[in-house]
Amino acid sequence: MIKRKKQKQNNNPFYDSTLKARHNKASIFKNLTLASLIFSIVFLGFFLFDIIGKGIPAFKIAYVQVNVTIDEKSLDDTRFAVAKEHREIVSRAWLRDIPALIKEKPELMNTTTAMWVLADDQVDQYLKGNNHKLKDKDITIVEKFKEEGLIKTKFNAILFTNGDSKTPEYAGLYSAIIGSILTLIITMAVAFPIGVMTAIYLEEFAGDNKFTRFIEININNLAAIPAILFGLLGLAIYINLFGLPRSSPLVGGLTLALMTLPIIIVSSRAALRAVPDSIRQAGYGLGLNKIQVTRDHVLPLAFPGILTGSILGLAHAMGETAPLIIIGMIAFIPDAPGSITQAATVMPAQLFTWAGMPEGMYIEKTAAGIMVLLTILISLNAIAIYLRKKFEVKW
Amino acid sequence: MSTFESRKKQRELNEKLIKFTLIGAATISILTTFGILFSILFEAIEFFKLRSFWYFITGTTWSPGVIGSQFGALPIFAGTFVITIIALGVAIPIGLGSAIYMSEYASPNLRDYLKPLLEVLAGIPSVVYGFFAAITVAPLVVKIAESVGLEATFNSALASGIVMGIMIIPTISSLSDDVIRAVPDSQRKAAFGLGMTHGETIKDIVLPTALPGIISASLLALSKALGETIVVVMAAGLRPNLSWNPLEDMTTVTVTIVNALVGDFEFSSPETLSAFALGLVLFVVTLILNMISLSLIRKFKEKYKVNTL
Amino acid sequence: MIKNDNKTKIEVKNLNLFYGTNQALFDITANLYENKITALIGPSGCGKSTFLRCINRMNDLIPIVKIDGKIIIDNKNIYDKDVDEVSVRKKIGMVFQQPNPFPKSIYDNVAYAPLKHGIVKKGKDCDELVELSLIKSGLWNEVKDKLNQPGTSLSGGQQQRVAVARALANQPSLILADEPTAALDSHRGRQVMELFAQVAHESGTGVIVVTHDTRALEVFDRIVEMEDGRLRPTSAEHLGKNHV
Repeated sequence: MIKRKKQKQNNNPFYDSTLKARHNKASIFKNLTLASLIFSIVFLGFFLFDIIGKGIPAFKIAYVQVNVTIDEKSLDDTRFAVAKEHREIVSRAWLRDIPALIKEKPELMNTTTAMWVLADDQVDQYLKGNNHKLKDKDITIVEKFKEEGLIKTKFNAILFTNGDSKTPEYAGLYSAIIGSILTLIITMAVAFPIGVMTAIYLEEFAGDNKFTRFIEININNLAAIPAILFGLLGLAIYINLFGLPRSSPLVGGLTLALMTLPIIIVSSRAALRAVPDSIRQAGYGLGLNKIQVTRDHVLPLAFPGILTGSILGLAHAMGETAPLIIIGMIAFIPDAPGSITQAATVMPAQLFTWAGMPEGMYIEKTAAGIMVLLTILISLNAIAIYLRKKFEVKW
Repeated sequence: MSTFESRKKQRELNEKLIKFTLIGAATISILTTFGILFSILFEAIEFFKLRSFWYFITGTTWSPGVIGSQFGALPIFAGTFVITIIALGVAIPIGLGSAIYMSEYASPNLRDYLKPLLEVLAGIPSVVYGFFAAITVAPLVVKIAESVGLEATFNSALASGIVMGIMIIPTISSLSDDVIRAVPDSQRKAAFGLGMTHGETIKDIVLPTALPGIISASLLALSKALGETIVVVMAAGLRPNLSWNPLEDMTTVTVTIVNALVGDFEFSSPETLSAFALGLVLFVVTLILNMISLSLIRKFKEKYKVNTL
Repeated sequence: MIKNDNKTKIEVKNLNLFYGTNQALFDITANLYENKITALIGPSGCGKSTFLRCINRMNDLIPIVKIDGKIIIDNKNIYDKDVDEVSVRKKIGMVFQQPNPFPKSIYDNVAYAPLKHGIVKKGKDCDELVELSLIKSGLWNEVKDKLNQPGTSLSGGQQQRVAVARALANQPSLILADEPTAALDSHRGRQVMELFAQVAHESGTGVIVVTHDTRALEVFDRIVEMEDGRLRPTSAEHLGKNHV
């Protein structure tokens, strides 16, 4: 950094009055570029702050302690399990699950016990100070319960143990998580071998001819095709032509696999290229052929780089939504898919659906889901970077 | 045949098989590109058998699902244009400015922290940006518009445009940064030697040299903006609206594609097939942008003999 | 006897330069003359380029460089805090080893700096300055009909002459040349050296050339030798062609 004192005119043959304006302009320019950089960083901070602020409340949810009567009448119509004045403040979905509760604890049959029951979403939102639709009489009850210690906010395990639900307080990410896992397994099972094999072919076996260049052009184009068009491909070919089940992890995975190919190919090629030629030459010198040299010598050395690239590809696929919407993965999926051919949804699609729901609780749920998704993505990226650094060999 | 020869033949067969498999894998990418092209083209042609191509390109009424449904996509193209321009208006200055600071002014240590930070912006899924656009930015736009006496809808083009712009900042900054660093240092030295300030050197010498690369980055960003779906579905409007006012709601090609397919229409109806017609337009435009972008970068690489891009 | 027609000299006094903790220049003290062509020679890595770059404060661009000592030009130490290094570089031009024309036309390459510094205004004055600079660098006849072509469309030797014209256009009192012929063949290299000598003698613009090329040494008025970051003791007075 050059610290320039103010130029003195006397005895200074280098005094130049025009320079001050030019230096000022240069300073302004530099500050403008710095400002734009700071904008990006500040946005990132503001954005994270906003999401976390909106999402943290979702990790706790309200429970009320009321008397629950379980008998034949209430099993028939679970609304009768609680007193009339409490019906608006307890979760109807929780009540509907009472038959399952009986299966687990048959001793509760024909009893009236005080239980911690999941509260209705409006109660929860009221307690959190958000917009709510509680009627005045319900508010009175809630306030009374608060005084008597009959209202608690507990950790919202439901967010992770339940699938989607039309009742906001009962909605969770479980089915979406399972759907994501199944879909991504298919994605990597298809994209990884094809991608790595393509990279091996291009780096080790392909000649410098038109065919090779044509493949490379295609890979470049594939990387730039908008995601939604892959969805159209999936719709037209996988669903319409091949008749594969709509909305299934199978179709979703196959669609995402094509999108992930370029990432895996490019990073695998780079990993292969980084292996110095002397390794190959040594292998040839020992009388091995190209396949043996590649398989036994080059590939193991390139593997960390290939793995890193694949993890990054996986992270990218995890966040994709648009193509999966086109092939139907935004249906309402309350139960986790049992196989790759059943209807499913994935995490980003679930968040997409929740974001469009009218009830206020879905805002914090979506934000919480975003936090979960981002945490997974950051972890994946961190693992990839860690692997890259750990196995980084300085040739 | 001796055992040696037969074993040799077996080995050669194995080698051929392996090579064949590898080539087969490599051709999948070709098949995919053409698969996308042909499936979209095929269905789009089916659409144009039912509805006029000329009206599609120039007509101003988009009304599916009614008797006498019309499919004039001009308002959709216009909406796409407005939102994309807003996005580029955010992304290019900020992306380029960030790139210039990182490559010309920042110390190497600072750069090592800043570059990955910007990459984080690139890794955030679009559904997250869409949520942020719909829940936070859109109401903010409405409030700010109100405070200056204007009226903005909650689905303003401005909100989705701004968030989309932020989303593509890394596309511009990353590539521009690489390109600026690839400008030979001898150019800068010559400029300094002539008595130029750093700012003048950058503005008059470095940036003009890097211009092809910067344009390439912008075209890539443009292509990304055109293809972006989720942010606009969540934050922008659903109705085609031929308007230049960014405070109004308008819709884009990608939103319309989604809408056309989540309805209850039969696959062979013009409503569903219109998605493929729009998809074809999107495919062709992004393909052209991409090819121009790549050729600019290739020329730049050849001229300055860089391998880092 | 030494011909003593030396105009205003450049006094280098006790110049020390450090790259971080490594010292590269050790207590350099010398006088350099503004109307002569001086060669600065020495083995690879002896610090001659580093020394050259001190004269127009180009080393200031490298963050880890520390300099102490004085370089006095026109009775002012250019390393004084109240001297603007940009102003120093206006008065002292530089030609580099790699010809590096700007991505502009030949005309604009030469006119860029003088216009920016306000030495001339756009128009006739500028045209004359460009023409004069290109004449002095021996390129005018070859390019006078294609001034609008990009600077990069010329051959290597021509590009180097554009660089010289570019430096001359600022009307400096001194030109520094850092291995200007290393990228040229010996014929063109000699031409460029002779050009520098011509510029020094006819325009009175001093030229200091760092060079490896010992074949063309008789072109120079003075030869200064360096070794391991120091001046060789006898070299300051060693003269070339003008030795009597």
